[in-house]
Amino acid sequence: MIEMIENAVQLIVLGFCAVIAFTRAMSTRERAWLLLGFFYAVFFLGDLYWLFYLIFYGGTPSYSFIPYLSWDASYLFLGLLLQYQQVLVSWKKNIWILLCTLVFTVGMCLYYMSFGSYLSNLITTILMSILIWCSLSGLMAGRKLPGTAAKASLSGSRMTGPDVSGAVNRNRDLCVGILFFCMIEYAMWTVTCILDMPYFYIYYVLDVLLMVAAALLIPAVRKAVDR
Amino acid sequence: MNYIENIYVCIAAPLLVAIMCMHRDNRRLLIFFFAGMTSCLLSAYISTFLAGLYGVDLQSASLEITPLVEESMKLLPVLFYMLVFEPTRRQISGGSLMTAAGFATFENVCYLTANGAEHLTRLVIRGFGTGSMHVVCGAMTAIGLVYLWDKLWLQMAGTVGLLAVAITYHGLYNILASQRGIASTVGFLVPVLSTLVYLILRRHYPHIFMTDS
Repeated sequence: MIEMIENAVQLIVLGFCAVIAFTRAMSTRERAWLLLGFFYAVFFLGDLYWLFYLIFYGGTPSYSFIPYLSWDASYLFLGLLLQYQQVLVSWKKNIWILLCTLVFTVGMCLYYMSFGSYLSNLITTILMSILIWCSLSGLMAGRKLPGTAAKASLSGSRMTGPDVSGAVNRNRDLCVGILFFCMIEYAMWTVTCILDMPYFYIYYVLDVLLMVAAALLIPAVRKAVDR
Repeated sequence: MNYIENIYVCIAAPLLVAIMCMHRDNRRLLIFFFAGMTSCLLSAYISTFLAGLYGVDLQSASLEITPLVEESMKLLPVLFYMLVFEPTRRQISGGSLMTAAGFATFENVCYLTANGAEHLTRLVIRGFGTGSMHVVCGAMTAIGLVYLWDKLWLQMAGTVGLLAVAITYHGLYNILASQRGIASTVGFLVPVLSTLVYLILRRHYPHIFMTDS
């Protein structure tokens, strides 16, 4: 029962966020909003599939290809959002961040593989590595992001001194938000592996935090794209 | 026993004759319709094979494996067309919709032969429901393929993402349609409503859908 309530709350938050993101995408014609809307919508559909299965068949799917595909696709859209915002300035400059990220994600992947499917864990690890790497790179950049400046100049706005300094950290909140989201996802997956019933409430606390993190991406994207 | 190969041959034969006799533009659409039917036949084989491989019963297969296989197979003719020829956006989206229509038609014919054709009301609901669902999924992938992304990396990754959306949407439809009563009716109505939303969006945002380049 509590799993159904948890899923229902997630659905309400995600559905609401998806409507906001798509409405912004239509009014501003900004592709970042569209990508964020797809992230919410795909996550929403995966959750809905899971909830319907729980309601109609009284259990979780035996072969969870579809919901996992859906959630992986939502990470893909987040990755596309980061890439579209040109968060990753240079591959070479961020190679150490990539290595550190891979140590963490591959290590966790090997641990999760002892509980679940190899392929699904591998796909999730690749997508999560990209997300964490791009977010950390964006955070570490700490300087003027050429992509953001270029986008602003393409749109016609003149980049004067204060504007340029504003562009410096435009993507910072987005990077923090996505990093926060990824870390909570990892915490949730780990909790499902190690905790049993008396302490399982921690999972639901993390679930609430995950939805907060997902919802906070809206102001983060607004800051990143609105001029 | 449902001899879907025999049904396929019976429906495909007049289509093939018509394809040979038609002019270029009409022929292209009919070829996509035929490709959609062929995708449906191949999907049935692959789904059955995978269900056997994983030891899944018929119902679980239809909920968890079939959407994945069907949506992926439906995309293949359009991908082939895009990679081999140099079609315009309008041609790609038209092809995608016709593939979906061919797929849905063959699936409905197979359903009729397996379940009979006595209940007209139910068949009308199912016909529109399944037809709309396949067309909506096809349109979703086609929009992703040709209209939303301008860069190659966005096009590739975005199409994979939208294919996942189509697969999940199809899975949800299958869950609802396999129920009885109100859940089943909702399942059949959702694709019809989605089609209406698609048509309204196309009317109000023609710049997204009507670019012909």
